[in-house]
Amino acid sequence: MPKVDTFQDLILTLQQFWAAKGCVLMQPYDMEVGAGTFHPATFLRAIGPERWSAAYVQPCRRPTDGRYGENPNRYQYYYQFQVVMKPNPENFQELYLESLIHLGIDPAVHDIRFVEDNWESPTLGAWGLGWEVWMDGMEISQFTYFQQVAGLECFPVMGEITYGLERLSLYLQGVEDFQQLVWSDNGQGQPVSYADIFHQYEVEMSAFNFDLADIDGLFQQFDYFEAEANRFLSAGLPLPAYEYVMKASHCFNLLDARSAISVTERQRFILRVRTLARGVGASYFETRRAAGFPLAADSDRAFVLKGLIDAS
Amino acid sequence: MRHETLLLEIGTEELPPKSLLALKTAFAENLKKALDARQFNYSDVAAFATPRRLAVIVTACEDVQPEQLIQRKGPKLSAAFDSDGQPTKALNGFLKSCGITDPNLLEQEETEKGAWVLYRSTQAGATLSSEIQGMLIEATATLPIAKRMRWQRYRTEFVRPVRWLVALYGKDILDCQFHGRTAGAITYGHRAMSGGDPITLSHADQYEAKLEAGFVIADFEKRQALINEQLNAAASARSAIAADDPGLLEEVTALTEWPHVLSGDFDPKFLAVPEEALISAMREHQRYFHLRDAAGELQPSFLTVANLDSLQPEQVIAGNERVIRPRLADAQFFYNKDLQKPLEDALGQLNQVVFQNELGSFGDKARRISALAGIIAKSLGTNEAEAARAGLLAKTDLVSLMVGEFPELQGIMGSYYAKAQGESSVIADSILGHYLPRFSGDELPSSMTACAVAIADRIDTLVGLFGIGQPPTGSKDPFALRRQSLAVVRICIEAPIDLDLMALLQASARLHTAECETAPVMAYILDRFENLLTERGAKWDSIRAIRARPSGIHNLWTALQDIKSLDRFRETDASALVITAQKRVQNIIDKAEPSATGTINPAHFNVPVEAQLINCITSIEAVRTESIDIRLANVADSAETIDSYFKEVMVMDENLAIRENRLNTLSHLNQVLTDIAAFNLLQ
Repeated sequence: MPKVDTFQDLILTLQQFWAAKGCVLMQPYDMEVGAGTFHPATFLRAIGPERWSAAYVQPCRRPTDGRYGENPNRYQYYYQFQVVMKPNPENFQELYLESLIHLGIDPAVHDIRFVEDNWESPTLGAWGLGWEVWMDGMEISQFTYFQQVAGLECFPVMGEITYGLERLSLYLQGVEDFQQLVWSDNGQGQPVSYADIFHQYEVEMSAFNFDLADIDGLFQQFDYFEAEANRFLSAGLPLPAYEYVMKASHCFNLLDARSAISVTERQRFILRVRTLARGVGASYFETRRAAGFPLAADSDRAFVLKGLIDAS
Repeated sequence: MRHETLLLEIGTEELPPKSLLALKTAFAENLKKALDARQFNYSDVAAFATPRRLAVIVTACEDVQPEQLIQRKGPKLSAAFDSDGQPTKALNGFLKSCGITDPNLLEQEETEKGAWVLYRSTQAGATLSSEIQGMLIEATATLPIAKRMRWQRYRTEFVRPVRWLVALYGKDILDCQFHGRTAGAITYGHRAMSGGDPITLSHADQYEAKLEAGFVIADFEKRQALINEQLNAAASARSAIAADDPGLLEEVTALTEWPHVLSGDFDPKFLAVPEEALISAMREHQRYFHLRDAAGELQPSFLTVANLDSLQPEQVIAGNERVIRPRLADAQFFYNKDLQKPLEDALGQLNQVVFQNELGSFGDKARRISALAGIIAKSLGTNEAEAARAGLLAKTDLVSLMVGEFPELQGIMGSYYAKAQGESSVIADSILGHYLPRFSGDELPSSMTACAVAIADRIDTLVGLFGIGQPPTGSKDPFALRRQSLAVVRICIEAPIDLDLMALLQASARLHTAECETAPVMAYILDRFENLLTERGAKWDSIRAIRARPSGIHNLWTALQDIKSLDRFRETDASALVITAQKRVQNIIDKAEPSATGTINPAHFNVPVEAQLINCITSIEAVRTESIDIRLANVADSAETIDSYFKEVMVMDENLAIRENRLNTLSHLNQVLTDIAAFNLLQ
């Protein structure tokens, strides 16, 4: 059993564990996203019949969750560890529980439960069924079977596990507050804490999100990113288009934190992002089909292609 | 024939807790129907459900259907045999189809259309093992599943992924499949406590006991009772009382296989936050039961139901305490932030929140509620300005952080915030009370001001939605107009308030920018009024008789008094005479040509009772503005005269002038009577 004393031990251990289960170890996407699901390794790979398994850390930004570093477990910038497997293995839940045991969590001691929590992302045109995983009452992971992404049916089904790394660490390290988490400890008496790395960032970014982000500029950026995404879609390039969808989505989140979007407008903005996301999904599916769905199992590829013929 | 226990268990990943009971019941009921339809007899059906399984046990179930009688109709007798008495081609074909050769095995059936050839035979009943697959499909096809899902690469859908299937008849495995699983005798115990190892059942009767040994209480009700017992014990240990919350109890029962109640504490400093917010944070986010002391004070502690008997329960408790702290800190953060927001700012924000596209924002709605509440208060003789202010503020908490997080706290938080900002206690209570009654049997708003706001809010919604052509239909009522109408009815007749509802609807219509007709809204409310009174035992025809008066019903409270008076009148001897008489009057008037003049000329009277009847009509009319009891007393006094009139007077006299005069008299009588009640509608 590995030693999981620090935040970085946790990341390393999860990476080792899921790599051994056949996942491609990816790196964080280098753009602002609200959840690991936005990473193309999840969002785009959930589309079409191709097999795919990956694991990666993804820093997430949720501007409205900022509490100036004062709430013990709510931050506007935090880390998720994302695992996706498509098709989901039959024993996906058991693999997850095994990963917890691997981290040193004893299921005979801790109350670990799968509590219904169906996931829906209106901006991504996506939904799935699954659970929050609770440990002693705290949500430590999300577990989802994707049913639809970008308005397209998911077949085979991608299973997604999202670990909330900070919350899990609170348990593993037995502390109460994110700030107290030990990020690394080289054993020479100079541990580096989460607060050492992020406290100033939380304070400043909360001020930025709530008070300083330029509303007019963000509205203009949103329009620009939307127009550019559409331009790339017209050029048949879903991947650059998707990057601009992510940028537009982050603008929207910032505007939301600035309370610049009224309830009615909110729906319209969500619809605008969803329309883009659907466009990206359709375009990505088409480019993969044109490439012959190279990663798909033969039977899955045949099934999906036959469905296309029957539908036309 | 065997009589053994049949066990079906579908093993799944964790099922949705709020539908678990419904799934359990439906699965058992459907299986029962499938058995009954196939005539498999049994003694009893029991249903089981945990987060990871749905199961049914059928005791003393027969394994073979009764012998089935087969009856086949052949050709007409006349076409069955030729003139030599030999079987025809048609009959031979029929014999062949029945699998026999000897025509002597056939019978005849005589009908009105002639005689027919008939073949009766018996066929052995089907076996349980041949029928089980079909029954399993029937039992699961119509389960109440809100959202179905797919998993792996299966194309079929179910409520959650299916992981195993048990189908046992006594000791025998029944051959069937479900979503890619083949039935066996293997089930699974508690994930953590039984180590995830398979449990082999060597007999269906072992189901509950073997699962219990695997740390699973399969019986939902048994588990629920156990939790309840543990909750009470844990509360007593702290000299406190656990929240009585059947909905939460059901949910935690659906979330556990091996429940274990633990208790924890939170920082008492959080008790400064309104208790409703603390309770919501504990209940909605964590499924905790809150505790109160004997005096009813909320305690800084909670009960949680873990799904295992932990080796180190203190760790589970510590974990839960760690979770609730930030939850309560958030509630405190929301509360303090909300308190800093002036109500006027909240009113401004309401303009940004859409109530309904065509009916404007909640800001618009607040202003309309305010105006209506003022009108109601005025007519009730209570403080008009206070009602108008309460109406204006009634929705301000919709833009608070706390209600954004816990929608069920609407009204409650608004009341706290208004009080904190110096509004009167009547206004604060009205913000809370205007949502009452929330459901059938719920309490009513406590003050006249709160009643005024409660009615204003609902009338505004009703008139507006009817106005834009969105009245409720049998299946669709997204704004719960039915419930809102019932609330209006209950407040009017139970508070009670003496209110001209018709005038109020018209005032409401004028406040909307859309063109709103009020008659359909009144009719809709009166239908609810009628239903509610009938449910409570009122005579349906008495209500109808009052409603059918030409003036109709404008005021539910006075209408209810009229209905009660009418009921009392109906217990008098005179009533039968009046009812019969008015039915005759109505009949005669309906059949007669409409009179040209309408005037009554005493010169045409030629029977004494005619003048007497005029006197009666005059005396009934004379008390027109008196109470209904006085008016009915006058009617009762006139009953015999009216009755004599029909005995002594031939209305349809040959003399046209006399006839018209009598018809005019009856028409006048009819008018003065129906002005009180449509007696002719009474049975």
